[in-house]
Amino acid sequence: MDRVRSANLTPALIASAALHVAAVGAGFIVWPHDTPTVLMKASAVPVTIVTSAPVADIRPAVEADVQETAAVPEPTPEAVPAPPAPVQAAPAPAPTPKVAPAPAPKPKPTLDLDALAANLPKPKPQPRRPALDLEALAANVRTPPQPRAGPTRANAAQGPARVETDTKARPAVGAAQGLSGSEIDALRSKLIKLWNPNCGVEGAANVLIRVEMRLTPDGRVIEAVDLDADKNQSHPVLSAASARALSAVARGQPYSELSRDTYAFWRDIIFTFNARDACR
Amino acid sequence: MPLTLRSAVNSVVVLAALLALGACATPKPEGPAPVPPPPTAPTPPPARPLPPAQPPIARGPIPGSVEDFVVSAGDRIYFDFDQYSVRPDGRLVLDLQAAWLNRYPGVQVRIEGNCDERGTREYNLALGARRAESVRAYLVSRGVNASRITTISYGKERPIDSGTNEDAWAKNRNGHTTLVSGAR
Amino acid sequence: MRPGSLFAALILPFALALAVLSGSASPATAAVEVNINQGNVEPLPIAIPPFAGRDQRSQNVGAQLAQVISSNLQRSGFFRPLDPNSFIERNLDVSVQPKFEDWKVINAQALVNGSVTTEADGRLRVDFRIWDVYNGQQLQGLQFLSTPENWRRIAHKISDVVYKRLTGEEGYFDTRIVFVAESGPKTARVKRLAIMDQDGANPSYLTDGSYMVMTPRFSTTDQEITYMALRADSARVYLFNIETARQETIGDFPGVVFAPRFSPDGAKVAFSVDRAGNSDVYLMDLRSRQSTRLTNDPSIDTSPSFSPDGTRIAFNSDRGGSPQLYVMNADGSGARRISPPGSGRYTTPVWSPKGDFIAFTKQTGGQFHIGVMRPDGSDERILTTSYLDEGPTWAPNGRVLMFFRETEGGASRLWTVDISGRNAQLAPYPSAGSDPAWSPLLK
Repeated sequence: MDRVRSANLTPALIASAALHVAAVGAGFIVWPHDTPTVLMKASAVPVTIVTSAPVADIRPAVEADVQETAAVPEPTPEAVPAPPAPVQAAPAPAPTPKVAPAPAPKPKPTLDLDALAANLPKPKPQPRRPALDLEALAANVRTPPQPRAGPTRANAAQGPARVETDTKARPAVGAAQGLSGSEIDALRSKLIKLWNPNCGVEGAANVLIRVEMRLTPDGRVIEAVDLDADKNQSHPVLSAASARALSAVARGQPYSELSRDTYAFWRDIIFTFNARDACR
Repeated sequence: MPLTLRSAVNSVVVLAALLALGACATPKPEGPAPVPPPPTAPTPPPARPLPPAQPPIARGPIPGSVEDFVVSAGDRIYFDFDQYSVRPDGRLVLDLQAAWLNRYPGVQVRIEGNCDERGTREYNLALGARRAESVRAYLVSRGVNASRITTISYGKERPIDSGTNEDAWAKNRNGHTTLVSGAR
Repeated sequence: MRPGSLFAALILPFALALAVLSGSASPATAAVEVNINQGNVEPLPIAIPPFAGRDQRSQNVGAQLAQVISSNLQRSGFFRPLDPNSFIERNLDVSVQPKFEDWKVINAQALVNGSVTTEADGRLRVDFRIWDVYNGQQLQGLQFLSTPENWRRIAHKISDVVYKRLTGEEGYFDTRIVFVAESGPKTARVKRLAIMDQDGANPSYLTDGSYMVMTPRFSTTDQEITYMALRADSARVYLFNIETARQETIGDFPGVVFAPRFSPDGAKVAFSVDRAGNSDVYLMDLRSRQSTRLTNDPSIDTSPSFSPDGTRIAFNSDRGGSPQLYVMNADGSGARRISPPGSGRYTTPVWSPKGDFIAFTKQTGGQFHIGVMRPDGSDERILTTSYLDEGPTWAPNGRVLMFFRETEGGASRLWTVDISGRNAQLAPYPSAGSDPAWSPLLK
């Protein structure tokens, strides 16, 4: 997994130095007159300064294992949340054996999803456009788009109903496209509960993180990217805020509040996390 | 809530009583009645009569001693909150101090400025210094030679009352005159 | 410039441009946009299992590391370390990816695991990783090497890394506090200079209590402190090197010398001298020993504190009739009041090491407060209130303050508060103390 590796090691800056503690305890020094008569050295003075190095020399987390752990829940998407975990808990060494079967389970999950995921590796926003293949793939899944018109309209207000007829005409505007108002509300209230902005940091209220996610028809996240990742990674506060936003999006799975019928309209969702009010 | 004149004098007297380690200190009532002045100051007196159990003969402190100074003049004057001007009750005490010091010209004094805890440490060090200077200036104006006086500020570091109310704070806002040398 | 406006200037246009670009260029990939304007602000649930070790000794150290890191992060107020008893996955191997599902079960949003190894040369090596549990990603991985007795500093450094990665702010855990340890009754208090780690560990005395000490301050560049010593007949300022225990007096001024504080480059000390009841601010060059008088006003001028760029000095003056905060140029010119009119008595200005705030002590009515305001006096925030709160000192990241609080009739204790005012708590020092001074990050 590229991402795991690339996100890895930030270089450490701490250089080494050597300071020495003189004796622990009290060194009594007598001073002429005006000066204090007894002084003790700080026994807490650092001894050898800690050195640090990037973990470049540490094995990156075993990739096989990694994919395993990830792969296991995938086949049974709905099982992901909690239950499977305890079961796996006991057999710690177990994963290794599972490594072998790994390739096998792969085909099991919806092929489309794997393909989708494979095509969507890069976190940058631009690559999404080339992901036309995905369009095609999604189109397969999208068979039921037309029926959606009915149900959606039922729930939704006038606006969306018209829009949905030509989704492509309308770029992301924030308006519900084929999504009912209640679905949007449900999404919003879910993410409000999950998003934990750190309001105690400098500039917290100016944080604005945009995360685009692509979903499977059953509401699992195939990929979620910070649309401003390049900029955000270079600033510690934004970088931390980005991780928190992505975490919230991941924790929102499965997005089962979205009607499968309207998948074509919510396959891609952009969440804009704006801390202005959240951190007021 | 400034201290009234009487309570100020009272506390001086009480303090004096406490500080007078010798025989029964006879608390001078109000007024500035000067203590019987001894002839001249620095005649090296014999050792002080300390330990032996004395019959309760009412006898004042040794003239020219610290006790004498405390009892007959008073060693502390008090200030209002965040103020450093000498109040009328303080003037009375300082007049006595000046008279006493003029009577014993060999005595050196240190004026210590003190503050209550209703201020921060550094500001109070500055405020205490102002108070000490006020006392010093007053004594000098009453004829005490400036070279006999040093000043210091203790800020809020040396309260005499550990209370946390206005009475305690009022006591802790003071200028204290310590006889450094030359007393009997 | 305010850091916040930096964000706005740099990030927002970019985001907007991006939105426009992507909108116009890819009509086919229209996505639903959902704005999230509220959040669930709470300390971040984080799991820090004992660091692994091959032998018993390493395991012991590993367990202690995890504990120290946990309590550091907990005290910061930004994190909620989870109870290790709730952990499902045990005995994590730092070189193997954790089972994220196990950590999701207990709602750990971040996981820090590590290992302790004793190298052939006897040094301690600690590897650790920070994981984003829900995204299944490593956020950071580092390795520290040190002598075994230094394990606490390793824990503090790891805490700093975790804190920075997950909040974006610089950490402040690998630091120490010099302060005044107090004992004895109020009317005969013994005050000794003392030093401890930021988390209260390794406390030790630097003076013996035969004279009073107060207002110690760290140099920003050195293992050096300056403090004031008060004796019956003198009030002097000293320099004290805590590494060598070498000490010297600053200047030989008649009168009361107090309120020392280093310049940001450590080359000068600003302080107050009282002469004949008039306190003014002076500046001494430590190399040339030349001193300059910066204020010349019949009022009280004290508590000087440099801006981190060294160009300005905040100080306390009652030249307007009551103690207020002023800022002047470092040469003493251009003094200007910054504290708002008519709202209380302000003292002890302390410029944040980040430059964006000045902390102070404020009195209103019968109460004392610790607060912060912008260097121009705007945006005042009162962070604490009590019978006596005094003497703020900044953590090196400029987000946390330590101060001391005296309750009515009680002992003086050290406290911390963050600049939002949300997280005020007793500092981890169990006895009476005052006048804390936070060190810079240790080198």
